[in-house]
Amino acid sequence: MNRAIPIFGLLSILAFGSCNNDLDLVYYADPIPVVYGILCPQDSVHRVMIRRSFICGDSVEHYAKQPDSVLFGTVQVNMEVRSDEGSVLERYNFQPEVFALRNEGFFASAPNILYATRSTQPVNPLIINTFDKYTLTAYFPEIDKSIIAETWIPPVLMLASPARLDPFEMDMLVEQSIRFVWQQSQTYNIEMITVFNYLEEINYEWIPKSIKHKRTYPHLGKNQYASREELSLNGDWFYPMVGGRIKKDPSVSARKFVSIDFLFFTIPAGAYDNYLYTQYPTDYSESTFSNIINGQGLFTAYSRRELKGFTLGTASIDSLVSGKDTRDLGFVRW
Amino acid sequence: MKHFRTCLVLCASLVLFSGGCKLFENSPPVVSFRIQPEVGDTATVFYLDATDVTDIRTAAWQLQVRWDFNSDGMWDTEFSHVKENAWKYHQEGIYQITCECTDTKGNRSALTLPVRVQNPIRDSLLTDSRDGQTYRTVFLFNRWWMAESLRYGQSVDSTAAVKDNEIPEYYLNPAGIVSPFGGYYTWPEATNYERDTSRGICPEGWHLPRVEDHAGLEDFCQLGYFTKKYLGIGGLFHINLERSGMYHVPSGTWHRTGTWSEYWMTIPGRMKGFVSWMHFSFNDIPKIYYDADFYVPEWIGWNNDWGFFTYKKTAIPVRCVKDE
Repeated sequence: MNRAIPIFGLLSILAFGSCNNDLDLVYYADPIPVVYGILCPQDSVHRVMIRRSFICGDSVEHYAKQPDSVLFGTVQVNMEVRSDEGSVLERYNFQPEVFALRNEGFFASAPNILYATRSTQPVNPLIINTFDKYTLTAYFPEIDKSIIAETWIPPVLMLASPARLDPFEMDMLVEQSIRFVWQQSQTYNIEMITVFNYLEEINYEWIPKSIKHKRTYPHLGKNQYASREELSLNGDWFYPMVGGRIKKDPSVSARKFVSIDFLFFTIPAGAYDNYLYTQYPTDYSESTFSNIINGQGLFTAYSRRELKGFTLGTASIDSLVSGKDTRDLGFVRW
Repeated sequence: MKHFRTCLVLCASLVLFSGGCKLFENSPPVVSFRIQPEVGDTATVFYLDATDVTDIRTAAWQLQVRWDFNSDGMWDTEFSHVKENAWKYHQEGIYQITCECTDTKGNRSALTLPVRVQNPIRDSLLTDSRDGQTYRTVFLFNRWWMAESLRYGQSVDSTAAVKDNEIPEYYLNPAGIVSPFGGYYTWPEATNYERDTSRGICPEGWHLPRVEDHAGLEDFCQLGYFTKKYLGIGGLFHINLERSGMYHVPSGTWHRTGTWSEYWMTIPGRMKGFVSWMHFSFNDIPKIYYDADFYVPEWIGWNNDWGFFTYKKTAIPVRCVKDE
């Protein structure tokens, strides 16, 4: 019994003493650069977004609304074309620009600063080969840190068919109105978007409209060899697609067909997998995908091939006007 | 006796076992990393990749690395499982980058590799006051170099012999054009018949390249980088060395055109010389040859039958360097 008292006293001192040592959960750390850049070599101006992480003791919402919390003061941003061996072949300088206002949200919406190439600086196609990469670099003087991120420069999709890439008048009533053939690889996903452009007459005013239909061709698996991909389009697909996508609207008095565009996007496999991950996260995926070294975010590129301005022959338009799938939509001949 | 033998075998096994364990435990990781690019300027962010570090007993993902970006003994990063990094240098120079790797037992090893940082390349223009022709110039390794070959004087027919007539005469390139190859001058024409072997026929304030003018370029060569992308036309150093080759006047033949870059230079005490940059070849590794004696040209393919007076019979371009 006599022993219990000092032990109890000692434990009490330890317990209360430890209570005096407040654990500081907020510890200073350098802000982490957060970078997002999704580029297309065919664009004349490239833009990337750079933000920073911040630490605050309380009132996170208040700090998030302060531009200083989410933006770095000065950033030196460059994008380089580097060879597979790492040689710098070209360098583009990015300058800050105030872009259109962001929608109001958790973070500060203004100023919406993006970093953009200064002028039209198309990539010189002569120096680009299959293994060249876009390399994004940024230096942050405030924290004396640099980030770097690389992505392959996707090639423009080469089409073995159609032989004529300039637009022509399509006949939707034949078996193959148009046939696309290309080589599918392990490296890139191909996305094909068919855009159907038309006009809607509302209150005697013609308003441009369009509907889009997307098809995705995932990259091949590691054990699969490059294969020929083929897609033929005709009226069996076209008219039900138009009839299913355009809703009947009493305020629309008439519709007119304008043109059909075909857009092909070449998207690196990794970036596409990351996109799928963000769309369908699983319990197994705990960490966020990032390919920014010394930072967080995503830097990738895609290529675009556009075949625009295809028209329909008279018989095909007649089917659009009076065919069973689209006759209720009010298309007229013109 | 029986117990003694058993004890002996047990002891031997223990010694072997414990010795073997120590051997594995003390093996440090094997460090390897790459730097991209190996040569950059003060705007370059270098990519450092040590993902290939290995260890006998520790899985690769458990290995940790830290970096000292200038090998001053002060580690710039903590140990981290992230084996990639990026760094930018603010001043030109050759820096040593050290990467140290540790395994789960605390065994460490390090590797140091060099990286070259130069000032961003500056370009300018030179107007030759003698004839008003304009040449691009580039500031490279503390020297202003002409980024185009000289085309001062007048061109002569490929079969004609040049003369000491106070007018510099040059041959045109195989395609019969001046730009971008400039003129092909014989040594006498390039030096105004050896009246001025220092300036030669360069514009005022400029001289024929000397050995010391090549110091930075030689350092660059020793690093063994691909020449084409740095020194060639459209290369990163902006010096635009065309694959000129040389013209042998008596035979009217061209040699090494399309594979070698060549221009005249002066060598103190020997006067004559030329520089050959071997590049665009199979392995694309740069080499610089100063023709200072009889054997070098023979070795690099200068035909023996061209004779002793080769300098008078061979025409190559002229590049000039600005006086300091």
